[in-house]
Amino acid sequence: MKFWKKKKMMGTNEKVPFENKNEHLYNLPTDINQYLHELNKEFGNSADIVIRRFELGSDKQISAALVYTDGLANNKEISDFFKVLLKDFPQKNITVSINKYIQDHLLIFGDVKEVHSKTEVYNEILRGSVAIIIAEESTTLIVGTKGWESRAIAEPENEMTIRGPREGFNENIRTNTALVRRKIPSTKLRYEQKYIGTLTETAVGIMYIKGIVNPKIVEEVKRRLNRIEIDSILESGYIEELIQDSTFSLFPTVYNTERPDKVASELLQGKVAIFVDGTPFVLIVPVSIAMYFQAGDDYYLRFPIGSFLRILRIATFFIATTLPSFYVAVTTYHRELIPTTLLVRLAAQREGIPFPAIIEAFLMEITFEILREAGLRMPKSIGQAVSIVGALVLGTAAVDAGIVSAAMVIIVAMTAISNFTTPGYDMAIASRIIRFILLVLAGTLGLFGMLFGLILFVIHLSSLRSFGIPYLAGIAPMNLSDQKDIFVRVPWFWMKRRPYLFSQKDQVREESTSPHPPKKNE
Amino acid sequence: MKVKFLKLLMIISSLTSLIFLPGCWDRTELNELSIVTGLGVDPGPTESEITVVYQIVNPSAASGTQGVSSTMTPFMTLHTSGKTIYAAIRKSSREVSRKLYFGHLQVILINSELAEKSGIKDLLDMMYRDPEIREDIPVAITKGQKVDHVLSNQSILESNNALSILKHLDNTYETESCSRPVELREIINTLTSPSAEVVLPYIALSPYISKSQLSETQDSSQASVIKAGGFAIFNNDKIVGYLEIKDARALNFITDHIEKTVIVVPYKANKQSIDLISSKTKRKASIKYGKPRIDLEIEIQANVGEANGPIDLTKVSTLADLEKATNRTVKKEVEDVLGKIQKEFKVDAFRFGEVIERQHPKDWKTLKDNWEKEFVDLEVHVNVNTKINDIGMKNKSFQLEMKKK
Repeated sequence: MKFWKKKKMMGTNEKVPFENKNEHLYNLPTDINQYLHELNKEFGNSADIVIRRFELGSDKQISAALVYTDGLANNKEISDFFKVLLKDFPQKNITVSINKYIQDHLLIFGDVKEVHSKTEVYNEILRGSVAIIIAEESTTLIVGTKGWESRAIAEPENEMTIRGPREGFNENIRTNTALVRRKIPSTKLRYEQKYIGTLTETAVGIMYIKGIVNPKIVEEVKRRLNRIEIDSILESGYIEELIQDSTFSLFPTVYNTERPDKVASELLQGKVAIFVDGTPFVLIVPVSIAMYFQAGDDYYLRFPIGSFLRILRIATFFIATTLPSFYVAVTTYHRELIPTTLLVRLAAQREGIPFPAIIEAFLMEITFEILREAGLRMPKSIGQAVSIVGALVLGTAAVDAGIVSAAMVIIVAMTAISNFTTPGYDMAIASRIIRFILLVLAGTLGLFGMLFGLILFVIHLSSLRSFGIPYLAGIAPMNLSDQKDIFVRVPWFWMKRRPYLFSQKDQVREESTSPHPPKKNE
Repeated sequence: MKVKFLKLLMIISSLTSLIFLPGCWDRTELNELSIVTGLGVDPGPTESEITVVYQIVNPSAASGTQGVSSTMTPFMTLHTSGKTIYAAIRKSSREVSRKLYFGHLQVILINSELAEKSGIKDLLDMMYRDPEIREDIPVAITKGQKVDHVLSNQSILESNNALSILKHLDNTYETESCSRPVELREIINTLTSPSAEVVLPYIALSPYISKSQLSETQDSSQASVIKAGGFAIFNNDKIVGYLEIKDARALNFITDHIEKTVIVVPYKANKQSIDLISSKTKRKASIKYGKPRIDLEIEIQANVGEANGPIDLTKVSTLADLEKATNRTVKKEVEDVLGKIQKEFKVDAFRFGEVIERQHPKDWKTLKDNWEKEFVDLEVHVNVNTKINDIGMKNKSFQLEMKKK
């Protein structure tokens, strides 16, 4: 019910604008001296702001100045256009305004525009453009000369695939949008951008495919982004937390990825991507829980393997969340469930162990979490030390010392390995926390407690929404057609329709038939 | 707002107390338990007492890499006496340091002497009532031997003796069908049935390895092995007699509990082995002039397992003759047991009363009161129908082509 109410609410508003305000003021001083004085005052004589005065034209000297940020603007480009400007500036009088003349006759290449307001000038300078200020002109010319050092496109380290493109996003928003645009060179792929953060003025863009996406979701994303009033956006995590549906849930309601192919495939299913400058992590909304178990490999490898791997991943997700608690519950409360010979083996291993099973499980789980965090933070050069210590502490030493049982080491190791199979990292860390909650419940109430906890999580999952879309979309509410891409991945020629709730506008994805050798009458 | 907050606080605090208040009351670590795998009852030291025998696993010895560690015994056998079973079990605290755990009980053994004299009815309630003991545990009789003696015997193959008895019962049932594991639940059901009588398998220790074959380290008790016997026949809750292996199989034919067995058939002055794969017995009851009659239709599917003598199995007539011979053999076996039980033991171990009750419920009402007498004179007709399907990997017996000397 809540879902429909929300949808209605989303539908009431008209088109939501998605651009920055106060960029259309006309408040630039015409006197160049005053202009430069104000600039100096505004930037506080910052050492990396270059203000260079010069004279234009040979007979009628026109006072002018160049302003740019050293390091952000490309020096070579500046000198190139400067050459053109000085060499080709006409001797005779110009009928139109000088700025217009420069724009139309001299700098006829590249990104050149006129701006009218001070904030715009300041922002452009700070983003790497050059401002050309000419005396007696009411506007300022901005030449795009952005060119700073940026990381090359590399393979994303956190989302590995066996088969599939090897490129990943980097920290430059323009590179990132280009990577996606190259995959979907369609006029229907729309990109809108604005700047968020009163101090950082970070570029934030939304991308979607018109015709596939539900426009109400786009409006809702814009509305939520417009609502943000913050001084700084340093990473897409800021945006994620400011727009997500449920802050206190353990489950993520915004997806993030470093892979352009993932973004492209989600856009094609009617989702919205949010790009943030300065980070390789692109956000995708709305999400469903199934997304976190879909890896690129599922679609690039042949379908039986893809389906098998996905079932395996879902199974291991359950192992990662429930195995330690199941072990504790069964060995301390429900020993009848264990086959006799196995029980005797387990009992033999517990012989002489000083702690109860629940404490033992906690000890080992926490040890593993510490090792994992240490391995992550440690400089790469000494990272090997962690794995050696970890193998010794977790594996042999603890068992030999009789502090934990060998069975518990197996359980923890199995849990740890299973945790890494979930492609969505956010979901994987959620399962780590759930594991501890279930462990406490299993240690105090046995399997009843465990089931109690699991039922609570299922109730919670079915109440979650991501931008109006139920979190369990496809499973609950059940949709038969969506089952083709939730637990298994059927061949492409069977997936004729896009996910039901996400792309209500344009459902049909393809009309291909199954491949077959030519028939006799063909 | 304040009320909402209070409500939330109450929900959270009641949920938290759910975790702490039960105080993990049922929690026991595995190393605080002694796992009982075998439970048995012997006659007690005095007339009014009984002795309860338990077999407890010693996990660290039982799970050694070779199955049995050489220094420690994988299990220990204890016995305590008391006026009732429950009282005797409670006394176990004087013998063992850990709480007894019956959830993995494998087998219940009852001394035959006890079952003959004082009956089993007073032994079963505790086992049936206890939440830890399962209802599907097989019960067996130790014939002429103390349960203590049987349970203390170290099996050669299995590290756990009770487990080996269980497997033993299952194995004899599945490969020879000359015995059958009877579950606790079935005993209770039979005891409460108006006509049927309890039938329990019995086991006994018998010497197997001569002393000279034992190495020095081995215990002399290892010289014995457990042997599965036939059935102990009960009248109400007391044993009235025993059926040997061969007769026990016939009883299984009558009650339709045959899994697999070998029937040795005389044919052309030689003994042939017919390997029975499946058998189905249809029990039909009919009433004529107030007299009940039972018809047994035994359908046997079999293979030839062994063909001795100059026999040509490729001939259809040979197989037909073999089938007929099998029919005769089984029929005789069955009729012998019918006679024995009807005339000698005079108890309805075949559950014929239940057959009549199901098929002729109206007539049963009159028969019921006098069933014990009626059963003795009950007319039973046996009809066996064997079908031989397969003759194995060879056609003719090699003895056909052997040199005649």
